[in-house]
Amino acid sequence: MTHARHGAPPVTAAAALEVRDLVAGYDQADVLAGVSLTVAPGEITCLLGANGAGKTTLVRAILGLTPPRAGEIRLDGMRIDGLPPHRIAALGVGAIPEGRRVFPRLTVRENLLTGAWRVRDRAAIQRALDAVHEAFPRLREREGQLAGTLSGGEQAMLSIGRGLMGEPRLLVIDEPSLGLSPRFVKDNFAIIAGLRSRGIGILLVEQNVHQTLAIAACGYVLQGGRVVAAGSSEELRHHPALLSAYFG
Amino acid sequence: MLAQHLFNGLMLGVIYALVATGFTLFFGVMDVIKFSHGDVVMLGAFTALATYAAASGAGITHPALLLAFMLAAALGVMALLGALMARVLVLPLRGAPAINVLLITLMAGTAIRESVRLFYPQGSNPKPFPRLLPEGAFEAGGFTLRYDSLILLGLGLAAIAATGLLLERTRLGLAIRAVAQDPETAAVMGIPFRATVLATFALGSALAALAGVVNGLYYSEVNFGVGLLLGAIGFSSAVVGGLGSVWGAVLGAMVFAALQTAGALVVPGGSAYRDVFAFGAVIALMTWRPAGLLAERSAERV
Ligand SMILES: Nc1ncnc2c1ncn2[C@@H]1O[C@H](COP(=O)(O)OP(=O)(O)OP(=O)(O)O)[C@@H](O)[C@H]1O
Ligand SMILES: [Mg+2]
Repeated sequence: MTHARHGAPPVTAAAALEVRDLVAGYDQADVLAGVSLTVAPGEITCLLGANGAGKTTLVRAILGLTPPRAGEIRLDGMRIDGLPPHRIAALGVGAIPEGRRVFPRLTVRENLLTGAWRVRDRAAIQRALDAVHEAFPRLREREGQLAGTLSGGEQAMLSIGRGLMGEPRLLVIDEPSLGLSPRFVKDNFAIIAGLRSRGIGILLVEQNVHQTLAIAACGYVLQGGRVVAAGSSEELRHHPALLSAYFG
Repeated sequence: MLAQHLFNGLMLGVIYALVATGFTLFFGVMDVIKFSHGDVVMLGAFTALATYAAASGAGITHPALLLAFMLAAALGVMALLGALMARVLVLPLRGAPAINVLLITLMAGTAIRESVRLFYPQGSNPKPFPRLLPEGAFEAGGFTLRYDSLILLGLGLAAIAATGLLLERTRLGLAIRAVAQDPETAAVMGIPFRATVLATFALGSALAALAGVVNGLYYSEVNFGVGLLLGAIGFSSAVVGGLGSVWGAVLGAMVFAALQTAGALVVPGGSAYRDVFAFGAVIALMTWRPAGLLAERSAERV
C-alpha cells in the first residue's frame, strides 16, 4: 500500500464515490474494461445491465473484495482501491451484498450487530438498532431467531438493516429485490427511496429497470464490462443502449 | 464404583474437550485441520514444567503462586505460538488445497515433538509433573474423590464455559462466528479477517496449553509424545461432534471419554485396551453417522 497514493488530494469534493478507468476481473480474464462513474451524496445512482455485464464485479471492486488491476476508486476524494475490505468498511462504506448473505447461524440481532462493527459507541449502536427496528418491525419480533431460518423476504430486510447499522456515508446495494415477490419488491423500493433523505451516496444495482429509474437520480448502463450509457434517469429511460443492453 | 468411573470419565472428557475445541475453532475459521495441535498441548505442558523449574529455582515455593506462573506462561506462550503458526503456516496457504495445510502442520508438529525430545533436558524420558494441588480426598463407600482432581475438573469446566461465553457474548466471539460462516461478508461488515484468524488460533492454542497442564497435573507426569494421542483423541472428538460448534466438540469429547471408560470396564483385560475400544467405536460411529453426531448443516459453522 502506498501512502502517497492514498493521501492524494480530492478530485471532486462533491462525489461520495468516484470510480475512474477501473479494470478488474478474476483469474486471467478482465471483466471490467475501464469503467468510470460517480455517485453523488443524497441521491441514488443506479447501475443497470444484463446478467454477466460486470455489475457485481464493480461492486466487489468498490468493497475491496476483488482488488482492481488498474484505475482509481475514491471515497470523498480519498483513494480506497487496494485497501482490504474491512478498512474500506471502516471508512464508511456499507454493503447490502448480492444474494443477501446473512449469517445463517447468527441471530437476527447478531447479524445487525455485525453491520455496526466499526461503531464503538454503545449508544450509537442502540440508536441504529432502534432505527432499523422502526423500519422493519418484523426484525424486532424475530430478534433472537437464527437468520438462516428466516423467510427470503425477512432475510432481505435483515440484509438491508445490517447494511444501515454502521451509518455509512456510501451504501452499495446489489440486487436487493432478487427472488422477492412483487409486494416485497415494492416495499423494498420504498425503503431504498427513503434512504435518500439521509444524505448519503447510494449505488443501486438492479434488474427492475423502471422501478429503479423512478427512484434514481441518474445511472449507468453496463454491457460487457463497459459503460455504454450514462445520464439522468429521464435520459436513460428512453436510451437505445438500455434496450440493447438487456435484449442484445 | 460406578461413581468413580463416572468421575474419571468426566475428567478425561474435559481434557479432551479442551483439545477438541481448538480443532473445531480452527476448522471453523479457516477450513483446516491443524495436525500440530496435539504437540501444542504437549509443548504447553513442557512450558509449564520449565516455568516451574525456573520459578522454584528463583526461590518461589508457594504452590498456588507457582501454578499461576505456570498457567500464565503456558497459556501465554502457546497463544503466541498459535497466532504465529497461523500467520506463517496457515494464512499463506489460504486458497491452496486443504491437504497442504494438513501436511505442513503435521511436519510442524513433528518438529515441535522432536525438538522437545532433543533439547529439553533429558527430553526423551517421561518427566514427573509437580504436585501443586492440595492432597487428600473425600472417601465414601469405596468412592474416592481427590481434591486435586476436583480442582482440575472445575478448572477445565470453567475454561470451557468461559470459551462458550466468549464466543456467544463478546465482540471477538461475534467476529469469530461471523468469519467462520462467511469470511467475505464479515470483511465487508468491517470485521478484519486476518486479525480474527490470529485471535482464533491464539485462543485454541491457549486451550490446548491448559489441556496439557491439566493432563500433567492429573497424571503427575508428562512426556514428549503425549500430544500424539491427545491430538488424535481431540481430533476424533471434534469430528464426532460434527466439527460445527464448540458444544459439538465437548459432546464428542465426552462420548470419547465415555467409550474409553466403558472399554476399560467391559473389555476383559481392561484398561490396556481402552483406546483400541474407543477408537474402534468411533470408527463404527462414523460409518453410522458420517457427518458426526451434530451434523453440520450446509455452510453453517461455529
Ligand atoms: N468469482 C468469479 N470467478 C470467475 N469469474 C467470475 C467470478 N464472478 C463473476 N465472474 C464472471 O464475471 C462476469 C461478470 O459477472 P458479474 O457477477 O459481475 O455480473 P453481474 O452483472 O453482476 O450479473 P448478474 O446480473 O447476473 O448478477 C461473468 O461472466 C461471470 O461469469
Ligand atoms: Mg450480480
